[in-house]
Amino acid sequence: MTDFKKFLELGISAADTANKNRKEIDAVFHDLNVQLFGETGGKIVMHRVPNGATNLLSSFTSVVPQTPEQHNFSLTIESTVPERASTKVASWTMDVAGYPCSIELGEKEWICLDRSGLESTFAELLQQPTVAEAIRTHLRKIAASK
Amino acid sequence: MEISIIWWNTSLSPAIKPGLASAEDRDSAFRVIKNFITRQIDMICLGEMSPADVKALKKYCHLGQYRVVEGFSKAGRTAFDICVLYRRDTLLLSGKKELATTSGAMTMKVGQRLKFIFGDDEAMYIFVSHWPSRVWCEKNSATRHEFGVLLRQEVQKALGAKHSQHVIVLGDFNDDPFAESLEEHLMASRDRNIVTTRPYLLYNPFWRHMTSNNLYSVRGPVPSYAGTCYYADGNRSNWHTFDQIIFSSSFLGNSDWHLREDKVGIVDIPAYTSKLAKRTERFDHMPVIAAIEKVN
Repeated sequence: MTDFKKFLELGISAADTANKNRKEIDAVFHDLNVQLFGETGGKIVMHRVPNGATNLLSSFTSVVPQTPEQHNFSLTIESTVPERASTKVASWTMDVAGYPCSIELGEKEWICLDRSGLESTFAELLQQPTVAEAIRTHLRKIAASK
Repeated sequence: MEISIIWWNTSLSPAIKPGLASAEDRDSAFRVIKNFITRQIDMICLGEMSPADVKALKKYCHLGQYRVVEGFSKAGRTAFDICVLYRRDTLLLSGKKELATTSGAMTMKVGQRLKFIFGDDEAMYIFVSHWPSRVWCEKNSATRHEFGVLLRQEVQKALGAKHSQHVIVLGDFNDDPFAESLEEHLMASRDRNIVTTRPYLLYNPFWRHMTSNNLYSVRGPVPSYAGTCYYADGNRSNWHTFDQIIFSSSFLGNSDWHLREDKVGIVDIPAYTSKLAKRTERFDHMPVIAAIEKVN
């Protein structure tokens, strides 16, 4: 007789690992946004937005893919004042297990296998001219609106 | 219709130490590339190149119908070092992606994926890879296995759900065809029959090119090479077959495009090949060539 109990235990363990990975990814986004928020006087954050979504998710909320379609997100630069406005800067894809997750920008695709990999990818992403320009454009609009 | 493809690690500008090639080295390398252009090779994939090398190449020889796709962007502490020359009268470039994987503090250059349209509006994915040297990433290390796994994941996406897309994987893998990274993880088989019936597998014709270029005979010529990459300090062999061109099953009878295995091999340009064994020369890789043809 097949030992289904063993496989059930493995599945539960995998689910625990996936949950831990997703929380870890959320924590990296959180750290990034705390610094972005601080550096821009509370005006700029980075969001993950499901493709096709009309409502923006809070950048501090865990993003758990519910369906295969929801594995594909956009990374957006969003200004918080005077009203919410966003610019897509990259695509974000995340496995149901959390890792690997990938960021795609133009001709580049970074596949992140762990927390350090994700952090170093964000470091590279922030150095990309298109991302910096999006941040700068939003800051200029905010300044012009005053 | 036939399409020819060459891969060559030029040794001009290794990512670790770019810009050290002398004018004489460039001259030697560009003569080889000009040979490819004269032969009207449809796609010439070059490794260890830099933007300065491409600029110098354009001055050295008239590229005519050839377009150059540069892939030199930064990847962590290193950079991609690949460019592709392709004939715009036979191929249309419709997409390019540089694939890097980050883990810990390391960035792994998995490869570059190019999508070409050719023939009757058919698509072909070319993966060009240059894996780390064994100086930095030793034989059989876990990292080498990881490269195979990661490249396989990208190849899998390109093959599609029915494994029917045209995919060619080529480059300097710094691993021989029998390495686990290639045979097991990339799933590049030596067995043509099994690839035909299991289309998720890839076929690696370079298993045939792991030994001397001629047979022994008492009065026969001394072999001029026994692989694609010369290593002066080898204990068991001075040669490895690190440079390979690997094919999807779509080229083995599962579509109208077929591998011309009689045109797969190592390109021997005697004036260049003789440089490889000389310690005073910087060159250590032979170019490799393959071709596909349409048969209705």
